[in-house]
Amino acid sequence: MKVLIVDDSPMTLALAQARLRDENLDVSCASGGVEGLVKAKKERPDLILLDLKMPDLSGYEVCEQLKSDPLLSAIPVIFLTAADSTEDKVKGLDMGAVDYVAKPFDPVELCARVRAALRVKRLQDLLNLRAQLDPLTELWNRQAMQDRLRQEWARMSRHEEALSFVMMDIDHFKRVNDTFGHPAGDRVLCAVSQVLTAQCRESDMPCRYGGEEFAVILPDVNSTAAAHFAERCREEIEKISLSAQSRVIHVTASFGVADSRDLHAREELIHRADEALYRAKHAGRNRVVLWECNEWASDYVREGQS
Amino acid sequence: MAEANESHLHVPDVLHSEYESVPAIAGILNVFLGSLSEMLDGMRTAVNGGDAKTLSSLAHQLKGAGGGYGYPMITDVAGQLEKAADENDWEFVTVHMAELESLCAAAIRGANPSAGETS
Ligand SMILES: [Mg+2]
Repeated sequence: MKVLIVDDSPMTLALAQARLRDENLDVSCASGGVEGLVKAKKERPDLILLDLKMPDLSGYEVCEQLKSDPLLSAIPVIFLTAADSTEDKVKGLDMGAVDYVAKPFDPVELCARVRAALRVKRLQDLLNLRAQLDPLTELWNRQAMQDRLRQEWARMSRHEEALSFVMMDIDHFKRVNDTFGHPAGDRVLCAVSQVLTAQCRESDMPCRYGGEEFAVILPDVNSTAAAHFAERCREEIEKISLSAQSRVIHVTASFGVADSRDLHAREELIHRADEALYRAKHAGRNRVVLWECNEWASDYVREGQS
Repeated sequence: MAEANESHLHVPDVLHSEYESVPAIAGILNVFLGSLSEMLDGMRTAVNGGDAKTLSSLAHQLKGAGGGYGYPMITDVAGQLEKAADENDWEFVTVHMAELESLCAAAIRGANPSAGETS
């Protein structure tokens, strides 16, 4: 885990670093409040040890700025303070610091307080992660997808890169549930999720959109490449081999693909992919349809048509 | 009877860090000792110029670091100096400044026995 130490005294920085050396942490230092804020933004540490008295920006001011930035507010802060008035400590804790350590610090105490703060941070990270996952498939949930799409949209607008979005729906999923029961339906959902995950790169984001609907965010990918991605998923889903009640469960899925070209709002991206998916369904399912030329279709196996 | 503004501190000739045998600290003692003379210079200049704010700030830094490097006496005296500077009590400033200079010289001698000796 990463720890950032912010203190204007080189003596204190060297000492804190030396004391934390055996804790197996990734430690970096900033020698003032302004530099501390810059590094906090860049490095996103798991914990900040923050000096109170610094000439450029006091620890209080740094803490205030950290806590008002949504991307940094969850980072726990421990104040390092040689000012030992109760008032200072209370003020620091009231501002959102999790703890304080008096300078000169007792080495054992410093390490113990750092460990305690990091323990809580780990649990907090875990809870945050769980809140973003779909419990059944362990894919990202819809809320996490919306958050990520907002970020990717902003990033794309800055760098003028492509961004693709794939919507997917399992064909005739209701029949699976009705015929084989919900546990079998859940197995299908999980198997499909595994296919999506396996086809995704590290930077892609597969999510369960709801029910039997899935979505994948593909950053830096144009719609042609995204359609190929969807086609690979479609082929792999077709190969899923599941059975229930001694009968084979056939699984296929339909895909709608859109990219961000000529779009002004991210809602339109979802809307276009959804529209393409609708066309894929109406053209006979088990296929990929690309929004811009809605005739784009893969070689598909007609199956389970209604 | 001794005046209130006279030093009552016994400063040993040689001061050793309490953490001398802790490898993590022994390895960086020179960071601390090496910056002492520059800090003392800055404090002396502040005393001569009547700059209580700078003096307080430098004393504050030494207060925060001294004990951590194994010199609790430096933390104590630097703390008294900070307080005297904050209160603009220049008689006490002079007393504690002299104590601090003796302590720092003793600490430097402790880490490097040949320092200050003539051959
Ligand atoms: Mg400071």
